[in-house]
Amino acid sequence: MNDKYAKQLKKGVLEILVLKLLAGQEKYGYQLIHELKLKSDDWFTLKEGTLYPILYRLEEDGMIESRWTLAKGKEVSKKYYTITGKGKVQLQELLRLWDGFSTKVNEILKEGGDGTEEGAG
Amino acid sequence: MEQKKAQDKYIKKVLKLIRCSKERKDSILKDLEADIAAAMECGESWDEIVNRLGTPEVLAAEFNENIEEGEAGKSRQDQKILMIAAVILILAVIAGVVIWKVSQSGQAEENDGLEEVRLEQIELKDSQHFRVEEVERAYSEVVRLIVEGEYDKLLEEWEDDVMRTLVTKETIKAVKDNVGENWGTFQKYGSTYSVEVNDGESLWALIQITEVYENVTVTFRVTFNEDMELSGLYIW
Repeated sequence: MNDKYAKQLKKGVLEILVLKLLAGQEKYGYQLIHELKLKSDDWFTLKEGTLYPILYRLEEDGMIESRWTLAKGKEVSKKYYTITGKGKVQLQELLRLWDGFSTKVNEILKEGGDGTEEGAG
Repeated sequence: MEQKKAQDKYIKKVLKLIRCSKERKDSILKDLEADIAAAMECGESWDEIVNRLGTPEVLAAEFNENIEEGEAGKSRQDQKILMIAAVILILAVIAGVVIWKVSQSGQAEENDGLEEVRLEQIELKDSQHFRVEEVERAYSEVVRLIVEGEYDKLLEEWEDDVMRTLVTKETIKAVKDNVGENWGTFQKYGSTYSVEVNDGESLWALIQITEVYENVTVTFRVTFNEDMELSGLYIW
């Protein structure tokens, strides 16, 4: 499989996933990467080069906010992200969109014939 | 500490390859450092982290792919600002050398320990040494060489080797291109200013003219020494 297509397909849902993960509680970058990997059974092994630009964009758009914590003892300084009121509204809209969108995409994708049969026949 | 060195080297290389604004690079630096530290806190080793992130080239390529077009454009803007800064710096060095030379000759006379340069100026038309027409003709020749890109000839006009090592073809071209890549044809002269500068020992003729071209307006300040050799050039 061409990796490019898989990447492209996953890319579209990253913002909604990040907003959702931040909706519960504030999190730092590495935590988001780790959690996403764990919760998606390795389907989303996001790297910094993808996550940071998403976080920067969301922050610039006022969807999330960040704060640096001070290093305490052995604990290193971390940048925590929190969802804002605007981000919560955006998340709800995206969730609604996702519901309708994924239903319709699934309907189309589950229509008879998936390419392999035709190729075999 | 070896690992910290490797980490710094890795991040430095990534940042070098990312195309974005300086501010964005600063945040990426801080965020990467914090994330790597957090990953280590969670038990990941440096090797595991590098394995996960990929080579600096791979990570930078991923950043570049995901950074918005507008952000990438800022990198080019930054480069342009950097180039302008470099040109200004070069000009400042040239100015510094001129002032230093002037103050050296000034101090030989007064030697009062002050770095202040005492220059006397009179209008060029009142000069006993320079002739306005001659200075204007020499000025026109300098400008013609710049406009026509004959930098080699221009450098030959320069008064001495010190200046020639400081001013290169590339510098002049960069300064010229900085004003505008395509000036268009000459339209008219703007304000003109010409004086004779006297530091008690040497004389200079300084002429400054603003010229209007089709696409740009540019000001030249050209200085000649007593032998009418080029000793200073400013373009902005």
